[in-house]
Amino acid sequence: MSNQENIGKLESALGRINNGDSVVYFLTYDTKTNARASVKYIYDLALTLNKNGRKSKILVEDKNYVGVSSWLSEEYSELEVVSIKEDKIELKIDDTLVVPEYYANTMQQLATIRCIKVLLVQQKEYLFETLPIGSRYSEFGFDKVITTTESAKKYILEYFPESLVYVIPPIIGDNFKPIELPLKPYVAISCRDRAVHRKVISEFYLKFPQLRWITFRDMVQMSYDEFSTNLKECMVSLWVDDESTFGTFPLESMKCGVPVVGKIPDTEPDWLSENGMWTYDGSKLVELLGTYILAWIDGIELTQEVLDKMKNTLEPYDTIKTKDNILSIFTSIVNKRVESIDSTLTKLKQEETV
Amino acid sequence: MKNITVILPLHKLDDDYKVMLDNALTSVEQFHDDVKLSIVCPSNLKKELENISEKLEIEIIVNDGQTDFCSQINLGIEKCNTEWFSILEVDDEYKPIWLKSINDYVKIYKDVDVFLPIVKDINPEGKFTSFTNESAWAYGFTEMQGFIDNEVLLDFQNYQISGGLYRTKVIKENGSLKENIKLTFGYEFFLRLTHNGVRVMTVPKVGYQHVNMRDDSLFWEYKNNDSNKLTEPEVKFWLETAKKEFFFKNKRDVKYETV
Repeated sequence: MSNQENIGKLESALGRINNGDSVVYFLTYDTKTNARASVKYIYDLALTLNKNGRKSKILVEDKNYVGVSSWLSEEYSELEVVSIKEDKIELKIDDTLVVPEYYANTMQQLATIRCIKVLLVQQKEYLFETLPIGSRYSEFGFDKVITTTESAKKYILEYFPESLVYVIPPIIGDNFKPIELPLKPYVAISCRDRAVHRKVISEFYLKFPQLRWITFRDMVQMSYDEFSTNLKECMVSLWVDDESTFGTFPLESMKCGVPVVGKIPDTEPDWLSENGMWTYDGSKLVELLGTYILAWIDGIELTQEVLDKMKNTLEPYDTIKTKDNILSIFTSIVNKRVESIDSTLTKLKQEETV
Repeated sequence: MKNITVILPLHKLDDDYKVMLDNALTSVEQFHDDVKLSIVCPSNLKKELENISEKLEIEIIVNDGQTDFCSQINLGIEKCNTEWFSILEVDDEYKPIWLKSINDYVKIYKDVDVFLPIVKDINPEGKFTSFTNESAWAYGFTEMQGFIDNEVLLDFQNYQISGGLYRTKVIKENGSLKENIKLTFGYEFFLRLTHNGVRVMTVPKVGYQHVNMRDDSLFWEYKNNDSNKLTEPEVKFWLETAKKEFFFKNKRDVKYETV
């Protein structure tokens, strides 16, 4: 390709960026109608950008993609879904491709594509699952990383110090808010492992037979709205997720004013403090839960100090702040590409004049 | 303006009863701004009960007729002029959360006329034995969690009338306790209310403490006192009687017979 052709291509790339025609593609996996916080996170990033003039699309493997309409609200339907197989997307150098760690196995194939490439790490435990031993993501052009917590950022920088790592916590939706009605004697339970889920409930009923009338609400197979509606009427949440990186469920609970009994995950969430009833020892969970419930039915309320801590915990995750953060990070990512195009253009033009 | 009357039936006042009464009154005193007390008792106790509490507004209602539990409650209801009433047994007590927790629900559930607290049952030694009224919240137990319905009551009898908050007008319309029904008068009462569409709800907070099987209590007598002891067929009879009688507002002659 001649310098003139290159200059033309780069100038049109700049033009597309300036006109808002560049696209941010979010590679997304199909949850087959199952609600997943990790997929909602991707849709939230895309929707925030789309609503603020940055064209965003959901990129899926094929047209069999079921989508999220069964569990996310109507507003997400404004996001265009395109498939790799059928739509044959052509990624331009001004486009951005965001790839979650789930699809890390595709990175070698994407190595030659010259768009802006961003790795999205929500679950740092999966980082090495498909990466060839000893390899680096930057070898495939993924030198920018978005993750959800400061501790995940620290971890990524420890092994991939060449990366530029941005932190964007999930959006804790405003449909999570306390209800006016009195709370009900229900426990909202969220356990990653179904065996643990069963074990905790069984242990609870055996250890506290006088509380057999307490209902455990299994917080799965619900739309996002149903999820928040069900969560906010519970008197307490129970959370067990050793692999969690961020821990959306406890924050959603706190935003509803529902206190949390939980096992601290292998990676301590950034927000962990005296804002709930936490234990490192899973065998203590049932005792903690039973004690809290017995106190609750006796009318003992949470102290103002704990309520304040729950409220303060949520401050950094304010929806507006997070949305501003999303916009400024993607602006910064694109600006870096603009700088790089500008500098290449200057170089090419100088070569032309010589 | 006090809008709740606590009805306390009393048939004697010996030293043991004085201790129990003192404890029961102390538990009512914590709500003295909102609650007044009606003690229904025979005339010979009236004088002794005057000035029994400095904090409480007390009305002594003399019952010179029947002094059984149901008749005394019924007289208390008849004389009650507040919007709500509750029943307190002399050996029981309200827990501090009772009024606040029930009020939280009264404010919201306007169509509910009976609010039952969770009752903490203790034995005469003061040890916890069980909860009562809580089953309304068990998943799948009733049609609507928290509410007691007639269908459930036909299979499950264990609900406690004492400690509940009752809308006076609604109870007067639907009839009060039937004193000629032994053992299951409370059960019949709830069957009748729910059959007539009265909404009965359990507030999921422990608002009342009940002593089970105190010596010389009515239910202790039914179980242990040779002269009053109920046999198994008799218990069955009274259960079946409750299931037949709840269609009627007022008491009817019950012909006692067991097979």
